[in-house]
Amino acid sequence: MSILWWLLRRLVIIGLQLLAVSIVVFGILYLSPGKPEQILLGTQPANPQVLAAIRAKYHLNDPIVSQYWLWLRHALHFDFGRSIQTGQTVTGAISERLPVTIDLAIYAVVLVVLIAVPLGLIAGTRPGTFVDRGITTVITIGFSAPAFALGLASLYVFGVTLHWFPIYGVGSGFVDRVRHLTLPAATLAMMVIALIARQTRASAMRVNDQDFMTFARVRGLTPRVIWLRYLLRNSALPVVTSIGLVIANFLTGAVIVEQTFALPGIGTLVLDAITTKDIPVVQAVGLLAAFIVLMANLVADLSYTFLDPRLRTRTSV
Amino acid sequence: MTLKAPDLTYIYYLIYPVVYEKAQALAAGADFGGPSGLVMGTGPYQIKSFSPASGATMTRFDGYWGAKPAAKELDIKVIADPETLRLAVQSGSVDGTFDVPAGSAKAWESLPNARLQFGSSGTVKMLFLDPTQAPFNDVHARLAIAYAFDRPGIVKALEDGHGDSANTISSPFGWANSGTPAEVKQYFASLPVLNFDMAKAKEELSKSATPNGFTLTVLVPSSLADLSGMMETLKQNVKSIGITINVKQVPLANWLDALRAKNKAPMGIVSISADSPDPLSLVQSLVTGGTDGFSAYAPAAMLSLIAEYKIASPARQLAIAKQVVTQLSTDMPFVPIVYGNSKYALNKKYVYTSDITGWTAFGTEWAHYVEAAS
Repeated sequence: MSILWWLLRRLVIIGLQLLAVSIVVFGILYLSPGKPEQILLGTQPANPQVLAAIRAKYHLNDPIVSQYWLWLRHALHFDFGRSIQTGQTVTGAISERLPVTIDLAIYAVVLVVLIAVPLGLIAGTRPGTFVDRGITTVITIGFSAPAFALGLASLYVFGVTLHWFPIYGVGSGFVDRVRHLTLPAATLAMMVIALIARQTRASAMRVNDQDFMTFARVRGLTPRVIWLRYLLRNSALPVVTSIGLVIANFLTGAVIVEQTFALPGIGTLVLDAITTKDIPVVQAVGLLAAFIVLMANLVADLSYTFLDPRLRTRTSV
Repeated sequence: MTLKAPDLTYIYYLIYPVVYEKAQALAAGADFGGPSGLVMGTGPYQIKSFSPASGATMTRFDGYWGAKPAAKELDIKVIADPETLRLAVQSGSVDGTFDVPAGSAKAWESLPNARLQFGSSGTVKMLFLDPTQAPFNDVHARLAIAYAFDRPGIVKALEDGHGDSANTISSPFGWANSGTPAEVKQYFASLPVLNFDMAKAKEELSKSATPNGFTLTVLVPSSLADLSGMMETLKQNVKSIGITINVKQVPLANWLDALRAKNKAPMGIVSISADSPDPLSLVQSLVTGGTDGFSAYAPAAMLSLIAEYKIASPARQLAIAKQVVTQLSTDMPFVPIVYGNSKYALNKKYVYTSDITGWTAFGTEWAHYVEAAS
């Protein structure tokens, strides 16, 4: 029961945080240099009649609080207006691109968890050995290379030379999409594997030193039980927090990977919108990014209660 | 359609409006031209699907009244990164592109399965110098800048060697329908040549109101490497005569806003093309006498010549064009730098059976000229 109350309270707080973000995001139109009607007109030629028409259409002559209230009401119905650059509805543009970003993020997170966590556990249980040092060195190399260099190199080797993977785009159908997203997801994952592996390693080192680990081994429990139920589950808390942030990062900030592999995702959308001062798109994506980060943190926090039974009886986490 | 005043040059603008089906446009409403509304035009291809994110697919319309192009389907993709684009052409997953970035010709020409074609374009890369404020309200300061560009060097380094030094902002590309080729060639040869001559630049500057130089800030678009490069070379060259230029890289939208702002910067750089094959097409869009254009340069004599041009006979038009261009060389409110090029990379499986020019991508039905290589 206490979990449900906690969840409810947390959702209310998230709602208030999103409201605060919405005020900032709404203000972007007024904080940007240039008059709002000029920005909303974009690159089209301006004359007094057109500017007056824009002012009437977007209610720019109303008091600012009622403009905000109108914008918020539309936003709650997922209506963020139309892109100044393309004339497409903002929600349409985002819903076209969000699946690509989500697929890429999920694929990359799966790769990170499958690669980084086992490596970190292995390294953490053998600190200072050749295995530990070897793992740390290899993953640090992947972490140090910039995304576009890794991306272009892998495109050249695996795409152009070996023809294993396609060069650009997202593909249609599940298998085709997995093929298209493999190189980008791997590039995205490389950047983060070192981080998560090192975190897992540090956590595993701490847990491995505990008495209950020694006792489990002495008792002769199977390696599967030792590794999964004892080591992994006890090391998981800080790692899960990081993975939550990593998911939020992948969903909002994968723009370089998107550009290199020509993936029509949210990152490219917001980059183009900022470059062309397409404020309605920037507003919508800003709100979306805040929502993603808050949700990712909520899910990470919720997962603690599953991982650590001691936290279930507390009224706050 | 009736014009308010006679204008013989208007005929060229008729290629720009698109003729589309009224019923379809009305039915599509606000979504017209977008992914859900699309467009119904009058050409040999019809749009099957379109989105700013994923590109466009067009299929050949077999009910077209004219000649059938060879390609049954055109698949236009969006690839923002130029290196990825090159790898895509190399791997064969993309057949061709107009988007070869300046300065990368060497890498593209080394592709074994694609051919890179160059052609002339009407693009002029030039500086705007504001004649209403110091330091460029003095013609000698403007001329000093004009002699401070190594134009052949810029063509070699920033235009892949395909381009020309520009001595005037009216590119010879626009004179194809005016006079005879010999006459046009003779006229252009008569214009003062803007050599790279720092001694002459210093001499001009010493005759100006700011003989010891001055300091300027110039905005360049960070996404257009050729313009940034040209501004950097100017910055280096004019150091020796006491002119300090602070080059500031800004996003494209900010650079455009600054060019159009009411308070103009003393110097701006731009890459711009004429709208039509007319000697004064570019000039008349720059010298307008209005306040929302790129330049405040608008001598009354030139404005009345331009007005006369619109209703003059072809012979008189040629004479006026020569007069206006000569006056621009004397006054130098715009410093021409180089004429750019057009590029087209195409897989060797196909041939492009016409010349590539500045009009190819937007002024012609280029798909007609793509045929399978025999």
